[in-house]
Amino acid sequence: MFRPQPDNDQRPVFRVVTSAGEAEEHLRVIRQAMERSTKHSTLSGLSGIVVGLLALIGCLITERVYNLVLDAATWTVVMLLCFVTDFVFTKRRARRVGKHPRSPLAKHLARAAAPGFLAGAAFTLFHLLHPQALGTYLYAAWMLCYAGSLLSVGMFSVREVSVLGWAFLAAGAVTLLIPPGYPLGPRLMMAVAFGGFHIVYGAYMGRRYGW
Amino acid sequence: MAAVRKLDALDDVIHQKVRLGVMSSLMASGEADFNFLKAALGVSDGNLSTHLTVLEEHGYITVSKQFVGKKPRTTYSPTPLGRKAFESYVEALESFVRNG
Repeated sequence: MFRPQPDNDQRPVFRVVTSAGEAEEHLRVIRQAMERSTKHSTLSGLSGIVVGLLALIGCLITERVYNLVLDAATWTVVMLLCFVTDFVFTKRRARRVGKHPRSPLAKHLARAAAPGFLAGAAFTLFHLLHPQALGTYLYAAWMLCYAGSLLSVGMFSVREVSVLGWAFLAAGAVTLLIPPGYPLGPRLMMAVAFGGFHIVYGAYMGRRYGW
Repeated sequence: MAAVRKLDALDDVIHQKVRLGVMSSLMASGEADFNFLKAALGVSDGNLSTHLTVLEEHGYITVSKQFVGKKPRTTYSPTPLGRKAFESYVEALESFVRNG
């Protein structure tokens, strides 16, 4: 006759291992559970796509703006809209996967992303004071700062975030090295990176982990 | 009787693994609700709730209940005692693998 095991206080909460094979098996259980808990992430594929589209709209607007300060101001508004978008979609996705949007993990991620964004803000401030110094190469600085944020977040998150980070790092470097007057200028790179990369990333994330 | 004991032992291992999974999941995510744990560990409702109760009784996890709109939401997070127990368990496993 089978009786369910009584889980009383005399028994250890975790099983005491008796062989190396069993210990390895338990370590595997731990690793798998931990990976699944961070990889069922609240990162939203839809958010990536909308952020990408917002960036493309930003490109269309700034294409007509020839004032460098106004240009940076437009992008700042676009970025704030992207933050709001991401917050709304992350909240929605967190509800779906049964996670709290302000979970300790989310706080880790925000802390990891912050330095990159602060560095980007410093470049933007510098740009407002000396618009001619960087010109549209400010875009390259943004890409590199954003790459830093993404690569830090990638340490605690899925591999795709790190891949996106490396892509931005490459795009930032390319943007810096493009000679002036070349058809593929910083503005177009902005559309490719902040627009294109985000849309591709969002579509991939959505298909792989759900929207 | 021997067969029963064997079944019990087998069951024991599985049970302990679920608890280990729950603790690992909570250590990684900081906190999680019931459905999240269920999805992450791939276990049934009854199985999971039994083990959550054991972990709570041992003071390894805390349970907080709140309402989101009209739906009740139960979230679980590891206590300092639970974190310590988990960490020392992992250390024990590692030294076992190294020396074994």
